[in-house]
Amino acid sequence: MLPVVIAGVSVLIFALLQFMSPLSRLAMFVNDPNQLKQGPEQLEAMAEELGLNDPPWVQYGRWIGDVFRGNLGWSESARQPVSEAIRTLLPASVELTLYAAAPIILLGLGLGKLSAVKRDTTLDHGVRVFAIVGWSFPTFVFAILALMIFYGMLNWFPPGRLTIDSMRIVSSDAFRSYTGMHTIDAILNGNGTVLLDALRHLVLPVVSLAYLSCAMLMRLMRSSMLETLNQDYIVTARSKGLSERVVVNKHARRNALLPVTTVAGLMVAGLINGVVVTETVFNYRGLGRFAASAAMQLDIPGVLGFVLFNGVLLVVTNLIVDIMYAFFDPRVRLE
Amino acid sequence: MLTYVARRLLLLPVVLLGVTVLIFLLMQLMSPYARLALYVSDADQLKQGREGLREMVELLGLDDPVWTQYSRWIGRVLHGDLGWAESARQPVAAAIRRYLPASAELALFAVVPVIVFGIWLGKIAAVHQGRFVDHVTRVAALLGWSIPGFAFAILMLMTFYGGVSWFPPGRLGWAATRIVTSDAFINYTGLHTIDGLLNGNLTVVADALRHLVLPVISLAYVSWALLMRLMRSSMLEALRQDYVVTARSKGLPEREVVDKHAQRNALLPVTTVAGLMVAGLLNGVVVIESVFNFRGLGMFAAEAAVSLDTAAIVGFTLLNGILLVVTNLVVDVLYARLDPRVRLR
Repeated sequence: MLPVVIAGVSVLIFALLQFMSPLSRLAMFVNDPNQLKQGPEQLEAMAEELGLNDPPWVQYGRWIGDVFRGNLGWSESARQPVSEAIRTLLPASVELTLYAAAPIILLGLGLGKLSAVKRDTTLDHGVRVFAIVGWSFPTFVFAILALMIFYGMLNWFPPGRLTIDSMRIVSSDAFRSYTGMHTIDAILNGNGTVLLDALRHLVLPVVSLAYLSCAMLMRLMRSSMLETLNQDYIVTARSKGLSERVVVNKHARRNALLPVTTVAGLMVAGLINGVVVTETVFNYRGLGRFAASAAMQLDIPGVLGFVLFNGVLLVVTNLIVDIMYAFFDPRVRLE
Repeated sequence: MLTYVARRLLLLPVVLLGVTVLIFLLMQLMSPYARLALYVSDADQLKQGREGLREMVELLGLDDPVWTQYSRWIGRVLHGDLGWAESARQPVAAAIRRYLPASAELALFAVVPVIVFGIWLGKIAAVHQGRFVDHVTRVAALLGWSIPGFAFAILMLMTFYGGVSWFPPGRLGWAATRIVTSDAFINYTGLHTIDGLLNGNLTVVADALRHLVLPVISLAYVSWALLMRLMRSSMLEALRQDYVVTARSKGLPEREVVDKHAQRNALLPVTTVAGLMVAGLLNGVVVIESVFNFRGLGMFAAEAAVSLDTAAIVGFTLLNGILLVVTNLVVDVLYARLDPRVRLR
């Protein structure tokens, strides 16, 4: 199933590209910008040599082979090969996404549950208004407002990924980059300055990225939890004399989590969409910004590399969700 | 049912009030000068020296206590006065009135396939679990979800406009724009497809539809995957319940079991998400309209954000908030219709 989806993504993209002229697809097959700076005749000859006028399936077979060897072409917007750009920028986006996924899931599920259990109390109303406000700010508006207020007015949280001072430490020889994620590397190197600085730069992007998705999960968890609390087995559990805590956390929550897991998984995978906006607003150098500038400059290999990578990521997340689903609901395993 | 709806309607103003208070409080973090644009209806008023601006801040009472300011501001908002949008070079309220129909048209055309395909295909996939239809639907949904909206939109534009010029960007071609702006053409709704039909002008309808194809597909393809996945898992869950076994053993035809007994219950979680998603389409509209140069609210918001136009951003956010609160209400009412137990509380 999973390889089918990835193959599907690549076929879809490749088929769309076939509508364009061979010359505009050349960049996907070269590794060096100088190859593209030639007269029209040489370019025609190159297109012929690379077989860009062959039937689509022949071309697809050749292209997918290239992709498997990690050759995704030259990205003009990043001025480096696409695969290299992805490799260097990925850790930044992973760091951002990981820090955002934690509050989305914990806060979304926790507050959703609380709000259902304490239905119609002040807490419930507060949580619901919080969710509505989160959902009514489009991510980019929220991000820009946050930047205007907390950087423009108060100067608490600057944009970017690191200040110049920490940048110097990170790029020095004494500092070893294990993962490329600054917070983790700083802990491994025992460098508190870099750690604090990296965290300070992460606050705004993480909050902007997390708020919207958090609001959605909260709503869903709340209604799903209310639904479960109405079930007969809850009455049974209560009348058995179980403590309310056990009823809520064991009997109700586990069942309420089922629809939520589906959405949460897709949402975390979809974070990469939000990352594009957030990274661009906060000038945070990661995959999202790479994708945005590639898109704006119509850098085809850049956009394609990003889309392909995103497809792989999504398929993997989907697999994880399915496994978790089976964990929560033993009936799924039996089928 | 009526009591329930009435009670929810009474709550509506309270929630709306909460949303405006929060937006207003956030704005208080900005300096009075940055907030001036919210209170003027004309760009010339902002083109004054330091002294003049200070006088205006004094006059409008932007240094007063927050609650005084809030009541004054909300009074203006209720009168439809949202300030001056520098990025659109017109008052915010006028810009919203002008651009809303375009976005509404786009969203309406996108909502239908999102909901119908999402829910219907999700149901079909669940009923035929593990079979060919199920696999095809799931792969198609994942494909949509795995391509970011903006990248998909750009690819579509590059292919179907850049590669083969089937579907141009923009909202209307030159010829159709001339017809729409002429005196003979009456604008009833501002939605070109509907106005075209009402005026009996098929050229406009065809042209408007031609410009809608790509944005609608881009907007819809990415969102329906979530609904389809959720409907599928929710339906599978419902089909395993005891009452479905009971319904089957009563001898009901499979069609009735699926459509009446299982589907109605499966729709509960889906309704929550579908509502949020419809309200969230306005978010997607921002990206899609910018890519396709489709002049609507989304492009207005994007331009406002890029040029840090406070009044316009606040106006867009308010509208978005109202839309969301109303959608929420609709979802709650639908929920009560689907699940009678909710009404009893």
